[in-house]
Amino acid sequence: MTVSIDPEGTEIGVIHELVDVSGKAVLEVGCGDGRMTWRYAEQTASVLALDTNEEKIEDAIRNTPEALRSKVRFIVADITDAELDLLRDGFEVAILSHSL
Amino acid sequence: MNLEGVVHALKKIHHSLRADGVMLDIHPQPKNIRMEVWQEGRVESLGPLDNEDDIRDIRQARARLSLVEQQGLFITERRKTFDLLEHYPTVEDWLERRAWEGETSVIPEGMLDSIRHLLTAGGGELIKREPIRASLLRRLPAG
Repeated sequence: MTVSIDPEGTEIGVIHELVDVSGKAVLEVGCGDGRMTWRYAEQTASVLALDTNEEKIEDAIRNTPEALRSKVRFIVADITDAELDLLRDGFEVAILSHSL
Repeated sequence: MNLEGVVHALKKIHHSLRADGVMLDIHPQPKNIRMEVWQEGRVESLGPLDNEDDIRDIRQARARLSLVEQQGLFITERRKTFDLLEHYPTVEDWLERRAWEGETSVIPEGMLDSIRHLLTAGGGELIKREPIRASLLRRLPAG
């Protein structure tokens, strides 16, 4: 038996119920170790995922499934400091993941 | 995120979204986190953690979110609440995760012993139950 966060899929179920991420450019703030990112990223056009914790971003990058590597970018950044260039693409969906 | 940063972050997100963009905010509700032990269909409640400091911060963050709505940057379209469950085979796994996440809630005296006793005696798993609110907000042109 291992540690498991939301094995019931409640959180991702609510995300899909509230927002359609299919084919969209997504900005995720507070992505942590990417636990939630991987669950919705496949359907998106792209994901830019930010977190201030370097260790968690390293874990996220290391553990990203191969199939998602081309569309998900994990970056150590604070949204309040992040260079506007990084955010200038124009996202269709922003997800604040336990970060307020 | 510090509270002064919340409004700044929301304005930054508003700026980075396209005109028809949406923001999904997922954060804990201002309620206690509860611990349980699940054993073969039986649920043993261990009671709440002391997360009053977090609850205060959540209320203040919500106030900042309401502020940017009042400023016309976003409008809430839909909202859902749910419990996020974390499953742990042992107390040590839970404590390790708490340290890694930097959790600041306080574990009431005796709770760890109670959990260890239950898991040792009857197996099963430790459950952390955290009430969450998810809100879908649409970007408005103002701001």
